[in-house]
Amino acid sequence: MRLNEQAFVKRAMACERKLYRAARAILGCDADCEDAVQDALIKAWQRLDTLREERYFETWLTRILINECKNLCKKRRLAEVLPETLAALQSPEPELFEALTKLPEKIRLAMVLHYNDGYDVAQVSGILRIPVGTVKWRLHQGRAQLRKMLGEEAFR
Amino acid sequence: MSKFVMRDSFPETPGGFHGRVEATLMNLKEVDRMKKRYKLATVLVAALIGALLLAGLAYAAVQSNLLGRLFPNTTPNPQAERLVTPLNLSETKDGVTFTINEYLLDGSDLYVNWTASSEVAEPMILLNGPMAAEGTSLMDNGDPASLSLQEGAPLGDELLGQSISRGITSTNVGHFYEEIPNGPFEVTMTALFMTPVAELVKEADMTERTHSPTLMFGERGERWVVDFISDYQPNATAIEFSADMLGNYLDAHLTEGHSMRERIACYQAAYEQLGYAQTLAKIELIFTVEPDPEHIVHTVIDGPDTFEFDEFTIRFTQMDFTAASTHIEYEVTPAEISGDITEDWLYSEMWFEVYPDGKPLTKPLSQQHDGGSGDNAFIGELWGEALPETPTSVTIIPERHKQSEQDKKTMMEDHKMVIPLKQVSG
Repeated sequence: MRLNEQAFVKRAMACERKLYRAARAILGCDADCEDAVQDALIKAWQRLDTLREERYFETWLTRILINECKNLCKKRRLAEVLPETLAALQSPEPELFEALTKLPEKIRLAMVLHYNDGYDVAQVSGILRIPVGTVKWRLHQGRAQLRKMLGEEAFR
Repeated sequence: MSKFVMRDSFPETPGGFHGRVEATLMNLKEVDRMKKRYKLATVLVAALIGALLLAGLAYAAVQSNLLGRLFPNTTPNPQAERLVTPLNLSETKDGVTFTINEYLLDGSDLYVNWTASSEVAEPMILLNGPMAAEGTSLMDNGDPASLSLQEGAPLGDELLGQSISRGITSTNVGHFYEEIPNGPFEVTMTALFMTPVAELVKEADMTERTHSPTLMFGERGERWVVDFISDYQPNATAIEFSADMLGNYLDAHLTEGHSMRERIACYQAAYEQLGYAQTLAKIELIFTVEPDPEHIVHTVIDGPDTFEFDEFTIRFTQMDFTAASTHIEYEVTPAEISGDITEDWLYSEMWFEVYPDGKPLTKPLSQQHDGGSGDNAFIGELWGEALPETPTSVTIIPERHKQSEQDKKTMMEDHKMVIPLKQVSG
């Protein structure tokens, strides 16, 4: 089965916010996120035949985007993901955003995919190609570290 | 126990990001599309399943639906024949029937073949919930032609002028991300039969944007499906971000760590309360899967797994030929060299020809390159149908070609690799 162009465009636009968060969890600036998402969309369109089933479109596209973000880091020798100060100020939760950026990337990415983008543990496992147990452990560590940095009252 | 909720702390999606997404999507026609070579196996499987539905016939020369699905063009291997377990577990309620026909557990994947049918001519929609095995690491990966909780199959005689079928047979595929249980374990599968309430529209006739619950009737490969959608924008030049009422309902009612049973119930409630459909019958079948470690045979690498070349080093991390599938994983680390050999071509233009016991495959394997495992390396995998015989070695030859130029491929015979295998049980 294969998505037509309209369906591909519709689905890609529908998960734009999730893509931004996933890219931003890896890359330190919006300009890099733009480059990564462009490359990811092109590669996804070129490799549409590797999408095993339409219902996995979001997780599949997210995985491609994460690959592109990491490729970009390698190409530009981006050693550390640091938030743009401006972006932190524009965040609706600046303290939480800053705390997130202090988490190790692997933990931060799992936290964003699960708690912000809404993927369940199994989907995060599929996106990151790590066992479910590892996902749970990273989420556990992420929660613990955020609570330590921000205190329990920061979370509902 | 309090629920951990992390508020969205990310800034608004920047206009530049949105603009780049939109601009890229508007120019897809200029991008080369990958040919279907590596999905040929999937397309053929889906086509065969579609033919089964239309003809109502069992797979030729085999009594088992599963074996026919796993070996559409070759004879089943002896392991698969031993491992396929008939169940014929069935329940009928209010004129509909759900039957678990058989399963096959090959050591890492569980294949479950089932049939759903209606006794009446009036159209209804069948939704298939992912299978669940509590206490295990089973995750329902889906089959190329399988259904989901948002895409159902129409059952009946006719829908919007299109002839349909009163019965459907399909296969769910689940993968164990950790070891399979040592002993018997229970699997739950659910069939949800619903009577449509919302407007039913053919996909080809959807020309306007809709915000109201809509059941979109269209084709997916050889199968007719009904999509439960709440927002459809057929015009690609008028794209706007909008709320998804179904998604909002699920976000509001599905709690963290919910079970599969709770997820199915939530979808059912969502469809009823949002005006998509009403439940005619819900049938949940629970069956026991008994691992057969004596006959579960798969392969592991029994020799050198790493090969160094001028352009890259490749390490094979998995070479699994099971009763029901083929799965190869590898890790490529590019070398630091100049010229036209770059990381990009290794990632995008290098493919592999696989020869189990030196013989060409009937169907090529699908291939995908994935995320990195280290600073330089990227992970790749090849997957496909099971083989009629378990091989004792695999020869792999890289080939190079651009995605749109498969007829111009260059075989890298001097990079031929032979990996010895051994069979292990359990």
